[in-house]
Amino acid sequence: MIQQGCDTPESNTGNGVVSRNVLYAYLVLGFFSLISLSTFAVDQRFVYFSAYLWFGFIYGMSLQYGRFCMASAIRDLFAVGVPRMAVGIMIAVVLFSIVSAMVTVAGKSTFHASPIGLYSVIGGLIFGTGMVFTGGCASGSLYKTGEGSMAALLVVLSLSFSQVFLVDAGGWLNHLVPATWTASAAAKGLPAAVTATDGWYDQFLAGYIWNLTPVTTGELLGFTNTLASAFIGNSLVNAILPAVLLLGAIYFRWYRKGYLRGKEAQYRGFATELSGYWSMLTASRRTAIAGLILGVSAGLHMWVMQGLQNRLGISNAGELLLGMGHTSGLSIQDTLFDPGYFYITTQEAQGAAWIMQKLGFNMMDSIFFGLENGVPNPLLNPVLWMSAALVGGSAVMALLNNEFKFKVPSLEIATWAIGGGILMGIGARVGLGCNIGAFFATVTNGDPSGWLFGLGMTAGGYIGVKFFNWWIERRMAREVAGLDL
Amino acid sequence: MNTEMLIYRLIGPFNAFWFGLRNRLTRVKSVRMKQVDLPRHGPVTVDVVLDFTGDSCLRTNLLVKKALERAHKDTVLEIASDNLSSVETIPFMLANYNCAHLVTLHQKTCWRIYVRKIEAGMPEGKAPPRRRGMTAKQNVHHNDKDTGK
Repeated sequence: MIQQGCDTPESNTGNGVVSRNVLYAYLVLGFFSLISLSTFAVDQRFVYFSAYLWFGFIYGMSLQYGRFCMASAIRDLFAVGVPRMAVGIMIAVVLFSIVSAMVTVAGKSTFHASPIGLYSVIGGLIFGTGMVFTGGCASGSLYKTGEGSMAALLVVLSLSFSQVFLVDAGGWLNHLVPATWTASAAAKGLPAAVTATDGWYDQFLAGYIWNLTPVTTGELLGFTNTLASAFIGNSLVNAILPAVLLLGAIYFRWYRKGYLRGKEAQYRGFATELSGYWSMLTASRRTAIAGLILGVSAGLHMWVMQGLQNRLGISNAGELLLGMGHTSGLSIQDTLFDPGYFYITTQEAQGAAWIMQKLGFNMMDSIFFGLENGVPNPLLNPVLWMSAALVGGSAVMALLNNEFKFKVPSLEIATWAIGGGILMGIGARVGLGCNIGAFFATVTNGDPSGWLFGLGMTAGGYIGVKFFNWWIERRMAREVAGLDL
Repeated sequence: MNTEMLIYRLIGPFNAFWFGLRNRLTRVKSVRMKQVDLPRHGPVTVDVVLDFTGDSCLRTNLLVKKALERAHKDTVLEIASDNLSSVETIPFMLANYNCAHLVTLHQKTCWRIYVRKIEAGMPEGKAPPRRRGMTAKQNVHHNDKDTGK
């Protein structure tokens, strides 16, 4: 019998390996449980940190289970015509947007819209190109690190440090700053400690980004009622309709022909097309399930964080640290990066910046770190707990499914990982986020800037695939041509 | 000299500094008479083994695509990979290249995907694969040979 589609891999491994992996999985789970319980015992306010941690853990497990990766979504469409991952992401977008609308109506949303501008497209373009080179997006690289891929760890590291270098870079880069940005940044009257007119990124933020207007689709459409704004404007118009249309385009371009092959006799017009559309949505069960869990948990995450903020009487984690007597690493405003929802790149940049600070570099003279996000000790950075737990959750899922493998990259893979990671870091800072913070979390919360980032990311992915294909043609042609197929 | 060649020659000398790029990862070999016992299929003779363990997902997918395009009718390919993303994606690629997924075996260090080419060439409506260095016309003739015309 010939099977079509991917069945569950049949385990051919010994029981000894499986039981050892289960033991390791319990050890990882125990480690995070111990952190949660011991910190709670020290100070109950650490429950705020643990909330980030356990949502990160769920994200890691879901991402690994569904092999969920934005790079794969774009790359597989353009490179090999497989829509599996793009479909999974659109499912997650639809579900996250519905849960987000509920959370917004309940007054528990922690989301803040980004300004609308060309920067999103440019940032997405750079990020998208980089992620195809590395073979994983920002969240994908984290969960692949949990699977044991050291190449993915290199991506995470290069992405983190390249953000820091861009944020801190001044010198000759100042010559690339338009005079209008410098004048606008100077006019903001920012504290002298952040040197707003020195450094490309500072002037990009204060002289350009802050002059743009953040707006949600609900506001754009003029809804004054929160219910209508959240469900019709933000969820239906900004997320669900574009997702359904994109899925339709994917169906017609990449799926329909294969689905209808051999079904000419049974073709019943729209009913057959609808059946094909549904078949595309359910083609990969595990990707669809992962999309469902991710979408729902990302929405619940916002609800839980806002609930905890209300309960603890805070609006930012910086207040918690201050209350606990930890003042080091807070921004000038005594705040920390604390989005209250699924996010990836900024906390990693904070981790890299903390290392740079320890090496003697001053990171607090920038707007990004000094004024807005701070550079806390990684052990006291709640959002970084989420990233660490994401790696842990992925490791647990990989171990339980006997899919964990410690992989050291070749020099070639390492070079692509570092080079692509640098591009991803630059793209993430220019676009004010990655595939999660600037796309997934934004389009689902009614922020149209997310689609601009997505547009740039898709274009960058297309460029990356074309370049990689060209590269492989030249490097590998002999190898494949030599096959006697 | 076309533009592609010019660019390639220009960046060629930098390969010496681009230290990692000289390694060749993929181990591709054509084998005959390798017998494997596949669940639900029994003994199957594998014609080609493509070993992509340690390789990135994009390169794995692109090289599998090229191999599937070039395979003759009834060729059985064994594709080994430890990249989960590729292991998940490859079975979905097969219909586009007139191939059938036999089975995926999860082994200790990698997955082995077994694929059979059902018909030569590409499904109707898909462009035939262009052989490197061939014109479109030569390429069509080459594909005709595959189908025995």
